[in-house]
Amino acid sequence: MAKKFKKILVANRGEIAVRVIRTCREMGIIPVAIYSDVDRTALHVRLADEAYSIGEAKPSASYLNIDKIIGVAKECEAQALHPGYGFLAENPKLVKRCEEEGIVFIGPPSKAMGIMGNKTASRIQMAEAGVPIIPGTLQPIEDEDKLEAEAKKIGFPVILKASAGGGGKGLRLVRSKKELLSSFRLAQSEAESSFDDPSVYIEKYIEEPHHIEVQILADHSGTTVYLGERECSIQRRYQKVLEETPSPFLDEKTRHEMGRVAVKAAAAVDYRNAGTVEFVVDKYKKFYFLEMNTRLQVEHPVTEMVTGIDLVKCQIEIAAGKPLAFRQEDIKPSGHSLQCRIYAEDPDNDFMPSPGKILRLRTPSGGLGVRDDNGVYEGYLVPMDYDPLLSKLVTWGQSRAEAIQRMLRALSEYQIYGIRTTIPLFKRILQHPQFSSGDYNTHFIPNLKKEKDGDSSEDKLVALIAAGVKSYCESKTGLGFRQKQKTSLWKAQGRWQNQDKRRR
Amino acid sequence: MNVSFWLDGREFSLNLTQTKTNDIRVSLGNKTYGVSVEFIGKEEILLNIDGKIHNVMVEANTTSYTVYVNGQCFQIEKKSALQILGPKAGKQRMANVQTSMPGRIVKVLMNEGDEVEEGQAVMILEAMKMQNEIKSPRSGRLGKIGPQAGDSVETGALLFTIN
Repeated sequence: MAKKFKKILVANRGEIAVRVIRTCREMGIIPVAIYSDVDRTALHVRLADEAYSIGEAKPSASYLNIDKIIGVAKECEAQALHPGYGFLAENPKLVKRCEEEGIVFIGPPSKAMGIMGNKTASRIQMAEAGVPIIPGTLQPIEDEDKLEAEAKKIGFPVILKASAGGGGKGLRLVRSKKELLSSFRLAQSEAESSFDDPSVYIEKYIEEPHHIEVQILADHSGTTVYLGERECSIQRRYQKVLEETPSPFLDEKTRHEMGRVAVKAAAAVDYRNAGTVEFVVDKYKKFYFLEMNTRLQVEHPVTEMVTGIDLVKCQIEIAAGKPLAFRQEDIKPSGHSLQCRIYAEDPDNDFMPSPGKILRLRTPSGGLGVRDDNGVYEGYLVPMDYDPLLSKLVTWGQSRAEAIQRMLRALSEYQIYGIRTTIPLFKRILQHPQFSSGDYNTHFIPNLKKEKDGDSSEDKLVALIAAGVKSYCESKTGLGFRQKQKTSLWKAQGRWQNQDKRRR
Repeated sequence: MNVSFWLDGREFSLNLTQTKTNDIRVSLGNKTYGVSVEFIGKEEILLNIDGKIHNVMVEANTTSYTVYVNGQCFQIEKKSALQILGPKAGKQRMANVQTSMPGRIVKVLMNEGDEVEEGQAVMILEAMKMQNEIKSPRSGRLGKIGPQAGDSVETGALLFTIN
């Protein structure tokens, strides 16, 4: 029996809260926002119908505080809760609490989330279901004598990984048998000193890996469909920055095979609602299950652009108990879509975060196939407390080349002044011959960094001239003429000409 | 009018002459540019340099200009007394390491008086869910260390000095 939601609590912040609020509004559902102390004037609050304070800036006190969030949901009488991504989106405890309190959680059941949230448990379950997983030992190697046999079984090259490691640390590549033992010992001592835990396990090393994921949707009758893949190999710090669909690397056969395997993976855990099955694909187009993200993905818009399906709307309808409105054969992606994640980070300085005030914001609205999902506005102070994602700029084109050209055009119009962003990086990526050829893998950004920096000498010259002009105008204004009423002739002229332009 | 700026460790001298109400002739090095200037806002300037359009934003600070061009950000230092003293004085100033972003100090990796090499991490600053190593800009001996682990720092706060 399908329910009707009158009110949905959006338990998140930033662009994703804005994204969910928009769909709620289009569906005639009242969106309710929550906010921490530093988010009182955030865009998601400004766009909501109702908003409730949930305390201090630090996530553990606010956006991660299940009791407070459930409290707000009950108080405002929301029938359902959308978790967005990040924060509590993949926390089975929140799902359980919702189930207990009679609030519909817009996402999978806690059991499926629990299995997929555990790396070892999910891999075991997937292997049983016949989903290919990366060959490896899973458990730490304790006995040096077993090392060689295991490595042989997996096949060289192999990678040694610290069990307690993460974020790319504690990894060691071994290409042949003769490096194996010494590398293993080194890996152990590294793991010991870095993570205080010497356990190391072996996994097959994937050469020139691609990170490709498949979007699935499953309704409550168990009908599960796949909506094509997303190529997510452009990464920095093992995090995605640019995604596209379809993947220029895959052929039709592999694409559908991956889709069917993704559906099988979801069915094996009785998955419901929207989810994403992530695969690592080697250079021979062999793919292996990596993990399943049991939530809406940051990069979901590219799938929406090529399928014309609003994934958030599907999520809400599935949560309300409605069956999927389409079958697998109805899903026919058309064209190509790209997404650039505009982060408040300095790409020229190791992606250092760059919080601060946005002095000027111009977004590239206008034209066919440009979408800007942002969570900020001019005058907004980007807080240091949360993820630095400002906006997701998405373009669609009939072909990949058209989508890339459109993205370059949109980026050239995108002006964010006041803080540093990843916009210049995307201009470099999109104009790189290796990217245009579509032949790239997860090593792309690290390799790009090694290449000579892009030629910015013209921009530098413009910057110098601009500073010169500014100092010239300051000298004309003079120290004693700073009062507001003494508007300089230059400014008056500028304004006058501006108005003139508007009149025309 | 003549002005001198510092950008990326180099000095640039500009000569500016107003030719019309909104036009300035700018000489830089051995080149001259015809620049037409329109103020869109207090900080936003529309520059037409020899026919090419540039939307720029110039923020005036006490000792520098922050200029945003084409998605890039340039920190242009005004020629100050400090720089007139010569490159040595400039270097001296470099030894004060300040934070370019607000955040929390997670860990201080070294002690006052330690020898530090260029590029060596001195402390770890956390901002926006990420931990960032704050590296020494040059080799030397660590003088004062400002914040302790757990402290919050604002933009521009002194993190440490190198002698």
